Amino acid sequence: MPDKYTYAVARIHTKENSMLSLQELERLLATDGIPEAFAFLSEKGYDTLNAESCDEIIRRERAKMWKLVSELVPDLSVFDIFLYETDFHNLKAAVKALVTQDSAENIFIDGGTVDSALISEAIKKREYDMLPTFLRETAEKAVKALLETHDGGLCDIICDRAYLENCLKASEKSDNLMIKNYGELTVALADIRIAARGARLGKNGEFFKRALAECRTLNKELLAAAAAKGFEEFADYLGGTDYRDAVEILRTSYTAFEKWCDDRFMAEIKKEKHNYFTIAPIAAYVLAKESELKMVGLVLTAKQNKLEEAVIRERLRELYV
Amino acid sequence: MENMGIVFALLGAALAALLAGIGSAVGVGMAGEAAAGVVTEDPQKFGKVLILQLLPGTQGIYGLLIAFMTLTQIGVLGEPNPVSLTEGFLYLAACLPMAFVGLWSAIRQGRAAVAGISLVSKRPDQMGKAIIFAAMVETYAILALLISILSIFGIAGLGL
Repeated sequence: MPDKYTYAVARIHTKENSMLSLQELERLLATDGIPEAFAFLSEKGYDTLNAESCDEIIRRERAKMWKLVSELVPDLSVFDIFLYETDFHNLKAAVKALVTQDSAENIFIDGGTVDSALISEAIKKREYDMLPTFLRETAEKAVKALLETHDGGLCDIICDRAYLENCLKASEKSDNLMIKNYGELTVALADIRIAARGARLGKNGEFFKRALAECRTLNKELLAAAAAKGFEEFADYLGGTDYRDAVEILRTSYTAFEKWCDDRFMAEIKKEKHNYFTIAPIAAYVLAKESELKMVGLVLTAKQNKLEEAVIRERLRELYV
Repeated sequence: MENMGIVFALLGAALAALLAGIGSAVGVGMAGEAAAGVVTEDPQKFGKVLILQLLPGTQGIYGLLIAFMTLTQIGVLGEPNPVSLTEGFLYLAACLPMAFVGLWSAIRQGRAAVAGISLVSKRPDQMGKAIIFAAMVETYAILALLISILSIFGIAGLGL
């Protein structure tokens, strides 16, 4: 039934009224200290009551968002694509903890599709069958690679590429254009990031072939070959793709590039804001809220560490409302 | 065969009421879902979204009007009136504009009303514009109503 999200989308659109705009983020940035920042966030509907840390406020707000979304969308698996990054981050952390013997819980992030404790236990016991299929093979490969080579970088490459491949696979399965484009953009921008950094560090073709993932808008073979020759060749190749705007930004700074990536994601999801009959505005809200929480976290952390406003402002992204 | 005229005429009346009614039910239902979504988060907007929800309901009323007029003309309601086969077909044809335009315009108006409800949820001051966007669709339902009315009254004057 094509119109089954009419109620949900209208409710989400009303909920968007309480999201932070860029001007409000600026006001948060201009607050005098953490207590004032908490008071401002409380005015905007954040649950700051007896919060002991900034992370706790963000965790509460994220939980509120997922509670609302789970009320509106019966099958939350459509949003798995947004949570795979957390799963693969937790997998990397669990695998590395095998070598470092680090048992600290704070190496894991909440909010993936798989409980981080389960990932940790499966890796510790080497019982990969405990994990869902999409993590199983990668977990086995990453553990083997790390134990044989003690190369954390290799473990990262295996997990990151598996994340990108799963992300693309999930997006291709979706019948929603926004989710399809999100998957493609995630992989393409990650490939550009890997290629740009690798080209500057003088990595060889073998590294790029191992690290880059296939996608529709970039030719993996050509990108790997160009990046292996150096940054200028990589820039020449990128100049002939849909991502040509990134070339000059990459010459300036990686911070600017990361901002460009986030703004491009935001531009992509904003396209679906006024599509009233599909799941796209709900998916867009999830991504937009995550982006808002990331920005709030950044501002609060910067305030805690008394960083200069200019440094934070450089990192502020385009917001949804 | 001599009674087939009234059968076709009645079929026309039924289609006008049926299709326009279905269209309105779908349109009002769709807008109602969106309105409920907005009111869940902001109950103060009930009055505003209710107006938008009701807009696609008019086609059902137009369909009822055409059906009622046809039934009166063919004598199902009021004085009995013999209807020839040709007249029966003509009444059927006269009802079709309202039936089909009523169905489609109500559904499309429902979609425009949903968009308008979303607009009002964000910018309540733009209520007037949201109503105008949805009301534009009404034009075509009114044109179809006009043609159906003129045809129904014209058939009686033909003396067939």
